[in-house]
Amino acid sequence: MRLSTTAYEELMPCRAEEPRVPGEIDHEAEQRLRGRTAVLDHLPDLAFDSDRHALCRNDFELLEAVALKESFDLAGLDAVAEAEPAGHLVLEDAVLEEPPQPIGVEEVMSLVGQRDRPLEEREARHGRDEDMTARRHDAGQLSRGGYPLRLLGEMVEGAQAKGGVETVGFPSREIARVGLDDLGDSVLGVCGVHLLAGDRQELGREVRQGHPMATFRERYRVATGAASDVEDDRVASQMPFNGCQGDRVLHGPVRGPFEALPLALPERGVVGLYERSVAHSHEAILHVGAIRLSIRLEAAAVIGFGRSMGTMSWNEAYASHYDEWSAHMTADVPFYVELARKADGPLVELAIGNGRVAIPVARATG
Amino acid sequence: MLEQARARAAEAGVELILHEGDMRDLALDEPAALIYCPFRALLHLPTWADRRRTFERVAASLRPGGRFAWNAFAFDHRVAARLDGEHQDEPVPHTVRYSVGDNRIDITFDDGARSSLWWATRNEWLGLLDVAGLELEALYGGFAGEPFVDDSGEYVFVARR
Repeated sequence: MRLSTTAYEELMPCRAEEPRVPGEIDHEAEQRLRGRTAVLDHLPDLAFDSDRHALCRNDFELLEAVALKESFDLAGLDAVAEAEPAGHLVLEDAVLEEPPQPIGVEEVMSLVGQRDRPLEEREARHGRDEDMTARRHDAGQLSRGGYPLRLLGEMVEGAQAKGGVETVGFPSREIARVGLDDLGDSVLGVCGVHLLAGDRQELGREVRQGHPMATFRERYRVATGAASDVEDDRVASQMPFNGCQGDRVLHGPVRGPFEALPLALPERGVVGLYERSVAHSHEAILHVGAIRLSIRLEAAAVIGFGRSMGTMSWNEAYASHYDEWSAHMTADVPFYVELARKADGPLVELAIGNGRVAIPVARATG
Repeated sequence: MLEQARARAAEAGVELILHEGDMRDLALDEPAALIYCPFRALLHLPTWADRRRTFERVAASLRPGGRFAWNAFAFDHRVAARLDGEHQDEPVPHTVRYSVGDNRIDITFDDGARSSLWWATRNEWLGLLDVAGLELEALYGGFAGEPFVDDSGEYVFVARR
């Protein structure tokens, strides 16, 4: 299996807008895939059955496009009908201090089902009077929507606290089969899926920015016990990116998510969420995370990356300390106020915090 | 956090237009006369790429002649040696860890809250101005306008488009 790294934007001239029919298999496309002769037309979802190492559902045009683009030999994979997921899923979220214990698939599916609740209901459910990510989702500004990870984390926690939540019919087209057995904190994430179903430009940039791969190697080892089908040295040699390693965020671009795809097809694995921690704004991070989540849920191709708590810019709990933490800092206010007074035009403060500086500036400038 | 700002602004009777977003994607409907980023907040951006994008977006969002101002601490190995791993009670009980190899400070509060900052050198800041097409107007060593000298602990930058 040869891996390559490429710019994924060019792989994606358009995307399928119509919802796919759950369970539908495009056998013709499958045959084309096997022959690796098809032409990329649009972007259907991709699902993977890691129990059988089998690809399932959807037009295979995407898959074949990926395969062609990546010189990706998928000949050994068999298309299968969708089936109920096996094993366990772990939703991992930086909101959670530690990797949560695995929760049942039904619970996860229930959480997934909640994504379709109206905004008002979600807010009522989670006690949020405003959630920009959700609003942007509802306004169609986010691809396919999804919850902020914060909310997902809370949902996971809630499900755990209650020992489970009501099981609802799960939209199997959203989560494909991912064979999951006994893993704790390993993560198979979604960075590649960004480019299948998301805002390609934004998500492609995210990938290039270099963070999604995170602790994949470590996690992968944990997950598979030195890898079920790929040895660690091969992992290293095939993942020459300069993204994240261990708990450190390194500089430089990740060179393409699909270089990890084969590695994300172990005998077993855990689907998780990863919260990037690189922006100034936790909310912005959540925004990214929400996209990832939603795409993962809808496309369910698997790519490895993990959380990287050590590189968090700040977590939500920090906000509760902001007043105290920043109270000593007063010397900067006159400085910025004076600059604002000199300015003839709009004023913009980045990372406004609790308004400590912005409010005096607004007062001084009317 | 925005909720805190919103509440405080309402309490103070001032109007703030608050937007949630990623500063690396800053885009304004109307170019600004001043963009500023206090309280070392740019240090929450860990990579050069993140900062470059931010600076470029800031430059694109400024009027000609508009200013960009920010402050950030200057790394001091003596301070780092003194504080690394030491628990501190003020202003909020916390512990600071330095990761020099990653030019990172992790602040961990006793209750688990965390914040990390990635420090930068003067030349890195100047390089960011350069690639963003901004011009340095002033570099102070403090908010009173004192000059930046070797033992200054704070960079206070003012740049112009």
